[in-house]
Amino acid sequence: MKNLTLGIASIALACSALSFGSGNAAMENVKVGDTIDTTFSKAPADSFGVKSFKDLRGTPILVEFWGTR
Amino acid sequence: MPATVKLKEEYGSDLAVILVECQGADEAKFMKFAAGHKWLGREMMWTRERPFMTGAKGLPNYALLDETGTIVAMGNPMRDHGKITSEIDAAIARSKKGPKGLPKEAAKLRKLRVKGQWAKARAAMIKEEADAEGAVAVALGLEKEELERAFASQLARSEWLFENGYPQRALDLVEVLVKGSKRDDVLLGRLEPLAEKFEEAKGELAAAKALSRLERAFYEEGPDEKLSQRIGKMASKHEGTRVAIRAAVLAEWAAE
Repeated sequence: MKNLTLGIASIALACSALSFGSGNAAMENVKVGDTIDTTFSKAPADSFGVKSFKDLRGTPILVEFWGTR
Repeated sequence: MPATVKLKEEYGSDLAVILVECQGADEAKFMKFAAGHKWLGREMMWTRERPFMTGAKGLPNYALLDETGTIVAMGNPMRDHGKITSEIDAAIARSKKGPKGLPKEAAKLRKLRVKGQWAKARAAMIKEEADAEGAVAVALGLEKEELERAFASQLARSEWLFENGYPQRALDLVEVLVKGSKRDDVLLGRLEPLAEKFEEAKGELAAAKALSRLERAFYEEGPDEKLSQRIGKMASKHEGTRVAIRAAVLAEWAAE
């Protein structure tokens, strides 16, 4: 019985790990008034060294989400 | 996207633009896509790493942050064009003048910092903070932190530029920092290690000169197989430089 309980717990843990496999799934939606302090794991292309939003403090930032399709 | 490109053209360095690809395209794919539309070479930043989630269902969607990093608007960029431009204008004005009610002592510091007059800003700060009390002391303290953060950020940026194949940009930035730090031994001391690096960087600068014309052609003409090969040849000729590493990536983006 103990082995069955452990087995079920392992499967549940694996499933939750899969559903949160994407970093995005763990992020809450932002709203107007929130302050953004994100640091990119890799500097964006053509950023010339900007790696975090703090690097841009003092300048307004337009973040546009788009797609190639 | 074209409206955002136009906004960046209008505002120049007063507005930062970050474009986040959200449909799973890898970097080479979306950079080729952007190059094909002649959107590159405009000082906009490109990533597929989401810095935050907006909860919006469609694309494109946007979030506009003010000069403090606070979100002031979100939604559809085409529908909100008027709102976006008025918020940007307000953020730029506040960034230069400071928030309403900022004590004049701190406002003076801010003005000097925003103009890149680092030495004068530091001298003014030392003079003002000696006798400052109450709200003035608090405001000066915040400006002092921002002065330090901004200078350190510029230093880090110039190091990054050098290490990642942009030696001419790094050199240009260091020269501006040196000019703004005249007669301040503390600031000049922090710039010295960088300035020394450039004395040994002739090979990098030569490679950067060879790449710049090809890079400009890529931004103006978009992907082109012959151009890609020329960039590849340039990278081989300057093998061993950081510029050559960057050129190899550019050659991949330029390939059709």
